[in-house]
Amino acid sequence: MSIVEVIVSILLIVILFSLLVMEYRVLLISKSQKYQNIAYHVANKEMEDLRSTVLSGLQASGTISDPLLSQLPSGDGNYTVDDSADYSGLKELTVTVTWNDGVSKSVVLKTLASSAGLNSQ
Amino acid sequence: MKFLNHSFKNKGFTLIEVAVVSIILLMVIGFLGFLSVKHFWIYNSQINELSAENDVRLSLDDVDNYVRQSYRVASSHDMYSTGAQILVLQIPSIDSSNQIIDSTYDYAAFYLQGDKLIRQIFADSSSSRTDLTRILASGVDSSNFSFTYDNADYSLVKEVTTSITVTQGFSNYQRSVTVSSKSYLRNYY
Repeated sequence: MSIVEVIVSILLIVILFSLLVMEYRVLLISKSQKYQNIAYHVANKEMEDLRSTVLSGLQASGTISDPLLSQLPSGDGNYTVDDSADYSGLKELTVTVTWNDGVSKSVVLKTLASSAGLNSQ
Repeated sequence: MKFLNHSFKNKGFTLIEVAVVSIILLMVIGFLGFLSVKHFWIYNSQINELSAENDVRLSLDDVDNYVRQSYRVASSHDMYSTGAQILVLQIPSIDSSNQIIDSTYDYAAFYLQGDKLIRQIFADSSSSRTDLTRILASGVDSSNFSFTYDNADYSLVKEVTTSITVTQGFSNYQRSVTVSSKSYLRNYY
């Protein structure tokens, strides 16, 4: 077996192993996307709840309790209701869902609410 | 007399060389086999995972989209009656300019047919919507699929929560995604 044959063989094995590592990377990214999808739906549900609450009845902040959070590693969620800095009379609703799959990640949804909009229902 | 001088050079492989090469060859084949199996597993499981996620996301977005447009949750329409696994929505009809036509309604029914989630539109003759039946998701787990309402009286329902589990693939490659979503009837008045 010549040195050229050895080098070519090692090169092939390295390339194949790199492909496997890349596939595992794709696996992790896919899992991350799954968590993001769940987090988005949790945040969206909370936002729908806030939008259906009378504006004067909105709490300044709160935590989210959703069974879907248990599907997220270290899943947690909260919301805040602040006066809008840009538009007087409007409230800025911010819903944040966080999780940690080795790296801390979050989905944040924001919207403005007024007493003349959906929140007046 | 001429004597030929033969040199007896060893032109073959020794037993040790053959054994070592065979062992290396087996290791390489084993490694390539391992890579192939892993590649096959990752490819199939990921295809199933992405397919399940896609179906869940599209179907929930579709249900939410129609719930938000709706005027009421109808107790029934055509052959469909609202319940835990069937949702019938009464939606204001729209003209070709997307303007609401007063006192005219289209209906949308969401129901399971086997493991498929179906959306069927029953449009009023004056509506710009058309009668349409569409498969939103396949591989829906009927025991983990439900519509829940904020009021037992469907005419008073303002909020619909949809829970869905979609399973794709089989054996070790099977992947399930469970998500729920909630939306409010924006045209309830």
